[in-house]
Amino acid sequence: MAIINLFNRKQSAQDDFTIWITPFVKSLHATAFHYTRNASNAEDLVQEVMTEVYVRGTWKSAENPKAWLTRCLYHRFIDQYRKHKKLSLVDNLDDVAEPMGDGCPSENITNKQLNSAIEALPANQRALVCLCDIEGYTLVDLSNILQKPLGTLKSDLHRGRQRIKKALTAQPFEQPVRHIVEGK
Amino acid sequence: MNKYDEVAALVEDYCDGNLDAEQQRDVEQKIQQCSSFKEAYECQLQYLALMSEQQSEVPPLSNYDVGKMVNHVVSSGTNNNGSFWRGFAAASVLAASLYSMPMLFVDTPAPLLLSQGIIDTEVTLVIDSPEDIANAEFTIELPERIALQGYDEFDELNWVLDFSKGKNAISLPIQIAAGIDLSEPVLIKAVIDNGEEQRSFELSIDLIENETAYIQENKRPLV
Repeated sequence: MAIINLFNRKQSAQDDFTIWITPFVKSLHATAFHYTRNASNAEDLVQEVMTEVYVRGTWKSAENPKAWLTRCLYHRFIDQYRKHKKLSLVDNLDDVAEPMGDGCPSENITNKQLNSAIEALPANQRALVCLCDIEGYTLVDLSNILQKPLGTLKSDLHRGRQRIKKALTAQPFEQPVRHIVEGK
Repeated sequence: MNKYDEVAALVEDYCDGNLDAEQQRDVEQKIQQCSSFKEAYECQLQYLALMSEQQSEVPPLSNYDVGKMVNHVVSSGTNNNGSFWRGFAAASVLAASLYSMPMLFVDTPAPLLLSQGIIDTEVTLVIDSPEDIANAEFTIELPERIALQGYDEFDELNWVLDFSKGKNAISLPIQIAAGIDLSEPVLIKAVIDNGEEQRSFELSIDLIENETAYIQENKRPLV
């Protein structure tokens, strides 16, 4: 790695951090986008994580930067979701009404429908589904990265998947349109 | 957990490869023989196909955007962390040295470490720009036996880039031929031309970040 410096000054801590973080930003952004389902929220989430690790200086001691940043992003997403509930309408499994359906997604599912189904999940299930089924992490990887018991992750992932499948079966593809014909 | 859930959980474990060989065979057999297993399996495949399509839905983030985000973090982080005066003083020093020669960082030489085969790696250039520069032509000249991945027949490449004020990160996927001393930084010539002014630089680049890991993985190449 190198610094092209248009100014005559020495490499600073800012430069060190920039060099350290830059290779991970795109993958963090992709994960954040999968979590939030929204480009602007994803950028905000990544910025918050980067700011936190930079200000605290904890990045200097990270042994496995990618895994560590993935864990930071996961916790930040869960915290943000719980505090503000901006990214979704529901947080607790108990608050969520079970979608009705036979549990198998129908064909011709649109992105919007899948987004709604993922957004309706509690934060921990949403993150797990994204990490496992979109990004391709195994549960064993995630148990190491997130430092959580394998059994907990497995049951959360199963619940998340089942909820998505049911939601995709239950929801109508188009909003029904009621045509009112006025009497003559 | 009802029966449907139990079947679905087993099928998920089967698809995820979480079962041992015997259980995998059992579930495979049940999928062929039992309608509820078959249905759960097809359902899981359909679900996984849908989810994997989501990988391509991520809006692209350009190197320029990455640089802007990182720059925002270090500037806001520094201001939070330090005092206003410190930030101001640093800005003043930068402005004062605007027209001075660029600095060339040379890393301390390490022991000889030769690449054994072709190595694909990525280097990140961080360009500290004094101001926003739109449509600047950025040219790099690569040394022999080092090429940009996918462009191995070119020694010189150029792009039109927008630089934002502050730090801009540019990632270059490069390919290193066998026999290059990885412990020595390589020099890449670069030129930035904004249409009015042209600046030339020599960039010193460390080819591998973690030499110890490289040595372990490659069982210590020639020394």
